[in-house]
Amino acid sequence: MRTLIYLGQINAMRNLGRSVMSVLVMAIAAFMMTSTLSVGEGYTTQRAAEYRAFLGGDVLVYPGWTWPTQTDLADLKTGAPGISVLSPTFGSPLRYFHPNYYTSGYLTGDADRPSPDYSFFPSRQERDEVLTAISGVPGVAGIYAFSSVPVVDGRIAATFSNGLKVLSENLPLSGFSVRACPPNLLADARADTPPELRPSLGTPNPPRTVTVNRGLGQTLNEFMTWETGVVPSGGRQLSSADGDALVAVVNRRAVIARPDLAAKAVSYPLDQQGQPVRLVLPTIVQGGSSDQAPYFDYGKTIAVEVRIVGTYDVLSRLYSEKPGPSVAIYEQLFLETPELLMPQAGFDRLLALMGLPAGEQPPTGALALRLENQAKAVEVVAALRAAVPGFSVVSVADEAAYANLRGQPERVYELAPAESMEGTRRRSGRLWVIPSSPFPPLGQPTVPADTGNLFAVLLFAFAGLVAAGNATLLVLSRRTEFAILKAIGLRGFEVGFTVMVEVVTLATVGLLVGFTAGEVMALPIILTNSLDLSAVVRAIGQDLEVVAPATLGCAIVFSLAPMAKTLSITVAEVMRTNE
Amino acid sequence: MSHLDLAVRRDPILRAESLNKVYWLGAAVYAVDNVTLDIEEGQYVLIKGASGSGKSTLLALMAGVDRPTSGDVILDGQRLNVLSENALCAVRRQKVGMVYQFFNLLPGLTALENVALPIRLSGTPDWFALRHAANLLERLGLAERSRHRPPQMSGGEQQRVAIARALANEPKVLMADEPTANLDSRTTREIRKVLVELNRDLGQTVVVVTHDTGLAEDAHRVLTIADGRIIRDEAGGAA
Repeated sequence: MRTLIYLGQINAMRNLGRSVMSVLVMAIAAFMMTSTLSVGEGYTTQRAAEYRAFLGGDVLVYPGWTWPTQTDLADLKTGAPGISVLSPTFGSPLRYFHPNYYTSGYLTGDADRPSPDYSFFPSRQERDEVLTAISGVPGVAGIYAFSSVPVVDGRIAATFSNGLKVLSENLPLSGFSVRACPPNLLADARADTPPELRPSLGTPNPPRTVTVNRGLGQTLNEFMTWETGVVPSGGRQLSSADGDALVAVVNRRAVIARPDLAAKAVSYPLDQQGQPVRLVLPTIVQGGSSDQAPYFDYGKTIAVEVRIVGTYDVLSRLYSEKPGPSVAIYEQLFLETPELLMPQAGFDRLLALMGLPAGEQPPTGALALRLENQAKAVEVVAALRAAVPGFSVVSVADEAAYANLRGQPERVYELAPAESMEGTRRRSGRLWVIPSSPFPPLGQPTVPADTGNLFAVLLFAFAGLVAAGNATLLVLSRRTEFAILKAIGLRGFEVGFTVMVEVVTLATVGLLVGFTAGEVMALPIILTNSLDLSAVVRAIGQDLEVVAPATLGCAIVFSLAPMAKTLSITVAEVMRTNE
Repeated sequence: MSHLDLAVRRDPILRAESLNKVYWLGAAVYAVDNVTLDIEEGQYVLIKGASGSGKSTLLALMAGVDRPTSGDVILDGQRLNVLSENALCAVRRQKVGMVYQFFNLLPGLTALENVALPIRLSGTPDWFALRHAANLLERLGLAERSRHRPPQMSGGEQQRVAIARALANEPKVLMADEPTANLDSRTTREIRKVLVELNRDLGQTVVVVTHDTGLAEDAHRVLTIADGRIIRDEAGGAA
């Protein structure tokens, strides 16, 4: 056996030059598969940086099926309790999976927990159970309870131009939320904060939309600097020096998201002290029983003065559209989250003013989880879903990648108004039946099928066919050589085995080349997640566990054809023949 | 007492019984036509004939490389016709050493590895196979060339390596098909000398197919074949 393996390996190396195509396609297949692992997820990670920066977590856990699957949507019945519809006039076309969005007006699957009074943990016992279950999942580095305070009322002074005139108006802040600013967005963020999680500086006041009609002398590159990131766009940033002062920064895009202000350049009068804004907030009350967690009481509100010291813009992606054969439009998208961010200490003080007892947790909207390894987000999310059934576990990176890969806005589960989904209509004299699925997701009219896995399989099949074809040709061109082996006493299957070893050896070379290339591509991205070396090595090992069996299995299967060819070779062929 | 004298007192090492090899090319073509033949152990037998006379086909049948249409070959007491392909492989590996006109060495292996390969395939430990192969190469004057690959060697050297390989498993019969046809006269003399020495000094049974009549001087017995039949069986120069 050892001799046969040796023979196969010798032949593979000797024929490496004639098998470049086999090695190359195997390398490409291995590279592509590796790319779907670490590189793909690394890319996802990178592209989700703005969300991670803004939300303070890599994975979000929502209550109930706030984050519905397509199956959930298909199973919904019109008018089912607890299902509400997003207002058609809400915000911009860009919707995303912000924890605050499941509240009033958004999907919520639990009729017993109507928003906005809802808290993630109605009881302390449930909180402990969920936190225990989540913290036991490998790969979770930290859990952050996402708490925000709904603004009942408030107005912010703004100016905007209306043609030739500059107008002033107090724009409403009702529907906004107040939450603590993630520490990485502070002006004095810790030095070890990864650069992709820090605010992007140097691009203040980015334009609302970027429309590029190529062919008119403009290039997309001129606008690419605004593709993603959190941008301080006015006033100043928050910093830890603000202490517990009631200061805040406001999402500029959210305020101007009103359709009538959509195309206007809005600014806010912000001096050194900031703009004082009076916010009306609900109070926080203790539950009736000792186990019940605190919740918001909208029947009793308080007014608090907060100073708006700055504005920020959260740039999502460039949305591309091709409305015509020679027209390409690129639009900069923003997260129009109606939010005010406060320093953590100031937010804690605000909660205290609202009535939260010392040492008590505020009502929690969602859980934001940090992962040890961004590259393994998919696996961790699967484990979390198994650990907390009945909750919605959303991978920020996955959701961002889902949209990014398709050049689409972020995934939105927006339901059409219920009344439009019922009944039948007559159209052109024929009965027109509303599609059976009552809640088609809107906002993404054309989502291509996810063919990633199919593509990988097809690629390997193609690689295998090329390798098999190449190996078969090699066998045919070396008939005498195989006949010699038979002449000196090798049995038919032994000769075939040397061919299999040869093909597998070539595939191994391809595997090593492709896998190495794939991991080299992935490495910088994995490393930017501040992983230690052992985690990187482990991740690479896990990738290899997938790619190696696929490559070598493919090689073994496709070596059967050239192996079979050797069976028809007879010893007599070596008589008087010269290769 | 010559080797021939010893051999005649034993059972033949190789016996062909009414061998026929027929090809159907529209009509039956007899490549080998009813050949019956005994070859004694230690004999040097030369088979000669014109091109297409059937001598190589006869050699292939006797070596177990090809199967006869009818008749049988008995090699060292073993009937080849009843053997499976795998068993025939084992016979070729253990009892027959073949030398070809075009050497048929494996180009990816060194001379030493080429010679050691059949020994390794017999399950012999590598160290022993390599040592035995080195001894054979040394005996054939190729000790210095053992690390070279076939393309780096002359035709004569390659043929000597091929002979060493054929002897690797100490075969009962060494069969050579036109071993000198591809060589110049000087190299031909070298190969002839090697074959004679193997036969004379080691008692190796040698069967050579050739159209080189010069080799008849070295053989104990010369068979002439025409149209697949042995038409003459006479003593050679070494008888």
